[in-house]
Amino acid sequence: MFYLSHSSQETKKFAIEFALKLSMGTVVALEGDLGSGKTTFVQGLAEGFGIKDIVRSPSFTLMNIYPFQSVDSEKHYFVHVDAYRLDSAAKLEETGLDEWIGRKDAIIFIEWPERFELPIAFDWKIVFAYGDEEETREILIRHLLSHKDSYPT
Amino acid sequence: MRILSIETSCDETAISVLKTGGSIFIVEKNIIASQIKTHAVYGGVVPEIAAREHMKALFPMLEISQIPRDGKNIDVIAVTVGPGLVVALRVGVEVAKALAYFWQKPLVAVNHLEGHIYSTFLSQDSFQPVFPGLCLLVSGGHTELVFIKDHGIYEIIGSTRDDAAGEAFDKVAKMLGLGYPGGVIVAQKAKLGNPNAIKFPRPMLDQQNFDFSFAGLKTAVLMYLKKNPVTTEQNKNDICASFEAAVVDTLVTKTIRAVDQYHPASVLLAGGVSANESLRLAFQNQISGIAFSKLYLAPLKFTTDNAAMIAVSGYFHAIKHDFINPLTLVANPNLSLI
Ligand SMILES: Nc1ncnc2c1ncn2[C@@H]1O[C@H](COP(=O)(O)OP(=O)(O)OP(=O)(O)O)[C@@H](O)[C@H]1O
Ligand SMILES: [Mg+2]
Repeated sequence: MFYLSHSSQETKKFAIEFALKLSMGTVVALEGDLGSGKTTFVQGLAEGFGIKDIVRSPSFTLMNIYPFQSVDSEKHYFVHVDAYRLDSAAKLEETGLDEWIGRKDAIIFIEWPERFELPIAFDWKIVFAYGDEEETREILIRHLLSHKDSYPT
Repeated sequence: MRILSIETSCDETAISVLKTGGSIFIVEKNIIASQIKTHAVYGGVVPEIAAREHMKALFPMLEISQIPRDGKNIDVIAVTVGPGLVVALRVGVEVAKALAYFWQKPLVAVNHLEGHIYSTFLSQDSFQPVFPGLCLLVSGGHTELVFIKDHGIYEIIGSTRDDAAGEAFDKVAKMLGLGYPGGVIVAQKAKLGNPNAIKFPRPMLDQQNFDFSFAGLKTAVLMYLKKNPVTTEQNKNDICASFEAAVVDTLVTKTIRAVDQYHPASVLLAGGVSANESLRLAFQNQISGIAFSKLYLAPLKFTTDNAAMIAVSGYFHAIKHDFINPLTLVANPNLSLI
């Protein structure tokens, strides 16, 4: 799936709709250069899941967790991870990310997965790129069928 | 009262021993693992982020702090319980629990962000901040304006909606090829540059709230670099200076607005980015004295993560007997200030 966004609002709106396609227990990779709109997109996704908290960049905190209630009022978790400032996959262990992977009540989004080979099976890969104008962004979404592949696919 | 404090919430492993009667805080020991030059204690390895490194560092640090093995000169133990990285936090919390349990000392759980606020009590000034206060807490992971009604009573009146100020510094450093984390290098180069060379946006200044946003500024710098590739070193310095001016302007202007509205007795500046000289100067020049508020800057050596600030915060909990059972304490990575 390809989407051309003309503003951060458009990116968020597109993400709110895209959130409907995502089910709990999935892991989503968000690739792309600095400022290409990964966090902006995740802010839209969170809104799509009905999360009211401000979603901030996890670059420094590495992992932010937003609990939310699904339509069937079960407790779920929106897990937002960023590998940007890490210099090895081993350091990611510090966040306790592996305690979240595989949980059916959590959905996980990882920015900068391309920084190193992560031993994680991604369900979706979303790539962000700058467009021709200052406020355009190209968003390419791929559903990764094989769950056995680790990153990069 | 003598307090032993432990802080392992993020990248640093830190302990301190602090003595106080309430009016002045004497930091007897302040040990930060990454700053210890004598690699001998670690067998040549400098401790870094991973939990096992926190674990490896803590006991040698307790050793060199010269605390007696039976803990007999320690009255209270304070430990950072959150927010932070769960695996890292657990190391400090479990060690503090074990010490408190076997030494039979009262244990205080401290919020890392509260610790930063209390770092402003560590200046050797004979005056301490009095509340109500207003704190700009600004670091790699946080940009918050906190109104402190009284000890332990906080209201977050504004915060960043995307990137923290320190994060923007580090990312601009990366864009300029200054390495990561390079926020400090950006600040150094800024001193040699012209802050008016490029008109970068002052995000959110037109909005009458106390929130910040630095993702747009980050992107503005990147866009500028795409259109105007850096040709000279002076060029680079000008970009650093102009970027820094945009950040400082935004932080100071919003803080002044908050002072005007909340009339705090003290204005506090804390967190890793509060070490930035240009920000400190701007606070001194533009904020001290307005609305009868007195300004307290965190001392430079206590701006980044440290354990002494955890001990100060621990003291104010201890005098209220706000202790926690060592058998039940658990780290809380998502702990908030309120
Ligand atoms: N069409 C667009 N879609 C998304 N963001 C846009 C768009 N146009 C402009 N922007 C701006 O670009 C910036 C994107 O920043 P954001 O932090 O979301 O990027 P990021 O990919 O997460 O960066 P980082 O690698 O630093 O984490 C925001 O300031 C946003 O307002
Ligand atoms: Mg981001």
